Amino acid sequence: MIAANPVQRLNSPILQSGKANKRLACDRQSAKLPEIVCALLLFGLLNCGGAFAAPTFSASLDRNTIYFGEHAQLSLSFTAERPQTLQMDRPMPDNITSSQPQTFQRREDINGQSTLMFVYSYVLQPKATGQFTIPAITARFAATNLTSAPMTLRVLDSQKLLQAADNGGRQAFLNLVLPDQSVFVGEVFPVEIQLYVQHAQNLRMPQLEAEGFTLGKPIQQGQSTSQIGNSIYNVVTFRIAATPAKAGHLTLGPAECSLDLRGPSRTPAGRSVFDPFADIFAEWQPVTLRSDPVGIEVVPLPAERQPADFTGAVGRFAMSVEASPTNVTAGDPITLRIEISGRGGLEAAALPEHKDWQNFKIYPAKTEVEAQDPLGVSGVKKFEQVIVPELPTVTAIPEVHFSYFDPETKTYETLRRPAIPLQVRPAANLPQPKLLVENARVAEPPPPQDELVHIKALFGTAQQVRPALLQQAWFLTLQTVPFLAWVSALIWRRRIDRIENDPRLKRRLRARREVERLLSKLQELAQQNRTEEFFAIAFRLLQEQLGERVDLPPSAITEAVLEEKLPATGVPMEFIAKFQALFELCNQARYAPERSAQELLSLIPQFDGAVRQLQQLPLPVER
Amino acid sequence: MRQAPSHVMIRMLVVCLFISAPAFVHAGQAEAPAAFEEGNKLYEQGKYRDAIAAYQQLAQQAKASAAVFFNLGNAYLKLGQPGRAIVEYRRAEWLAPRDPDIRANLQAARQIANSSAKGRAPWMRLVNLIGLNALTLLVAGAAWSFFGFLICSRLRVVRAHIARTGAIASAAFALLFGCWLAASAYWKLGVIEAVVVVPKANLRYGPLAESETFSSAPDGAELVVVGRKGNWVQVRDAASRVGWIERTNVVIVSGKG
Repeated sequence: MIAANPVQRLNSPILQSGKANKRLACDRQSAKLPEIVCALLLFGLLNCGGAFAAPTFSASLDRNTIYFGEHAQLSLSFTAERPQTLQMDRPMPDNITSSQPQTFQRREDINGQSTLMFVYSYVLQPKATGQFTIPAITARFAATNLTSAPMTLRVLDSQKLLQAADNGGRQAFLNLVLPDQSVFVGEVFPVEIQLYVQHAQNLRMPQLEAEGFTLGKPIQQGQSTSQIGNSIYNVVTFRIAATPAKAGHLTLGPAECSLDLRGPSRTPAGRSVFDPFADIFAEWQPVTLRSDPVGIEVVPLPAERQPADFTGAVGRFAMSVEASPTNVTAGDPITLRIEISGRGGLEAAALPEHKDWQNFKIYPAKTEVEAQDPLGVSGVKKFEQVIVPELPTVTAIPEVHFSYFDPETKTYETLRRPAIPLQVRPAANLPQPKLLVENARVAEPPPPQDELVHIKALFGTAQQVRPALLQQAWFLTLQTVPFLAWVSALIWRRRIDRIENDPRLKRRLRARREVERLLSKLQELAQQNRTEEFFAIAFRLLQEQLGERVDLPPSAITEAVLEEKLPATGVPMEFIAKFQALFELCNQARYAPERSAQELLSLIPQFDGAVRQLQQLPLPVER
Repeated sequence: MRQAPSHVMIRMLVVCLFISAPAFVHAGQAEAPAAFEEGNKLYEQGKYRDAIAAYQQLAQQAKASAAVFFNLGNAYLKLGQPGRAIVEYRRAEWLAPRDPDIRANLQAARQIANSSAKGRAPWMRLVNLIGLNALTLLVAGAAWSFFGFLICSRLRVVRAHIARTGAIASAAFALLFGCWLAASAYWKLGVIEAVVVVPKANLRYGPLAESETFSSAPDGAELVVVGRKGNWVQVRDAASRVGWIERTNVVIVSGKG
């Protein structure tokens, strides 16, 4: 698909359709002009939307290479409005016949907007093999004229195709089509991968082996039908832009394409071509088709007459240069916009170094490539560069030049754009020019960007970009943990030391622990109805607690000690009587040990209450 | 001889930490996301703008690696935007402060930008040698160790002279790295800088478009932020001149890089 540019209308034979075609047919009869192969078309309708949007026009062939006996389809697509007339800049080649156009409309999403597109489709039938040029077509709209670029249609001998199809014996095959003639290093050329297939599904984009070439993104260009022998094939055409990177006899291919081919149907009518359920009941078999590799001669660029500023661009280009603002103060930035447009290796196009721009500070240019066709063969490369005039004596931006190699004429061309006048005012706070020049001389030149350390191929450790640990409350709070732990350890140590240094306190704490243990033991024994052991433990419990109170070993506590020592400690007499009763109960149990579990359990609160009351009484020394 | 239970537990804890450390390290190693690979591919094809878009997808997810910011910086530098490159390199340096590649490209970007920041003092380089978080962890570790020895001393699980020696060594370590941390925190958190990301940013006397311009800062200039007002940032340049600059002309970064 080739985008068009507004141009003047050309006076030449024309391609026609519709009413204009009929009118021209009448003219042809009356004027007897059989040499006119194509005639003028008039399209009187204007699209309403045309008043609001600029029309666009593109012309494309569904296949650029066909075999003799096949036909190609020429599509002229318009947006915004229908053209009033279509005109070719020269006649259609004699060996190509064009059908009447089929017109239709379709909606396409372009940049997220639904756009109505008017399409005129012509079937081109070759009468001979060879290479034919479809002339440029000018579409005349109400406000403007748009012209497409000429296109080339190659018609090859069908013998190779017949061999590939094996006289229709194969369901599908892949065909790789390259230009006939040799190409230059760096020249971009389209490669066609044609898939001939009868019934298939799950078609994947083909892959192409291309050692020594740089490949663009493959696109599916179109779909048509072709009859080879007795078989009808659907022809799916893929195109890909290839750029040779080295000279010599190189090989492109093989191309590979994966798809599912229809196997025999499992229905009784499976072999019938009229079976409506053939697709449903058929077995689909995944296959990978492979084309034959194709050799191509890649010629190095000629060394003679190569311009000094040639940077490797191969193709055919135009250049435009503009700068703004042009009235500035010294030190102010000026944006220089350079556009290289045309057909060829735009990615490789680079501006030459500005060697005679000493009075400017030059920033690296920002570049952007806008492809004008899906294949990326033609387009615009935009360079946007900030330059700063450092001296008020600067009067112009120097001439901009760009050299490229034209593979069609096989010559080097140099595009030149004249110097752009500038008005540079001295800056108020600018140092003296002499000083600036000296500074400029001693200043280190910026390092070339090639000296940069290359990008990192390894992702590394993923880290969350978040505030520093020092700024996070949880982290600061966490830091109090060891301090608090240390304070706790300090307190614990002091307590331990105090206990160690105070035997009475140590005894009291140990007695309390023992009392707790014995009480729980009592509970167990009561439940198990072990009377004898119960009273033995109860006795020991009283001994433990009383021993701690009177500062005697537990084994030394008897009823006599109870009467002798306890009154001296200030224990009330009713307490003493209570303890005596409990001692007596324990003694009695030695002689009459049979008690029920319920009785034992009912005794526990008495023992418990007695020792708890005793624990709460202050020690004699603490009084 | 039977060991005390506390000693056994401490040793088991240390062994467990050593065993599980590689697992933690491995957990941090993420597989390269598709956007990163795509960005690298676009970069190699010379499609720097597209590469930037791919890298920024990752950067905006707030979970990226130093490599993402480094590659982003390279792409900006290739596009001739040294200011933005410096910003990204400094972000990368924040995550990987000892990466020599980041330092080299940051220096290159500063040379391209003709930035006054290219001649950082040697002691500044020393301050930046270890990342702030790493320093913080070192100091915290030393502090924990110090208190650990004190606690062990109180609990009498180690001999007194061992606990005393350990506590003194930990305290010295914490003091040394604490000073380092203080200096680093001051420069990295206390000082905020603005990097100019337009070819020329005007410095004005006041925070108004009508205020007179007295100087300008080139793309990539690193200025110290001293105040903010609305859409304006008050900055101090290398010559200690204070002026106001439009917020849209700069990217604010924490600390001195």
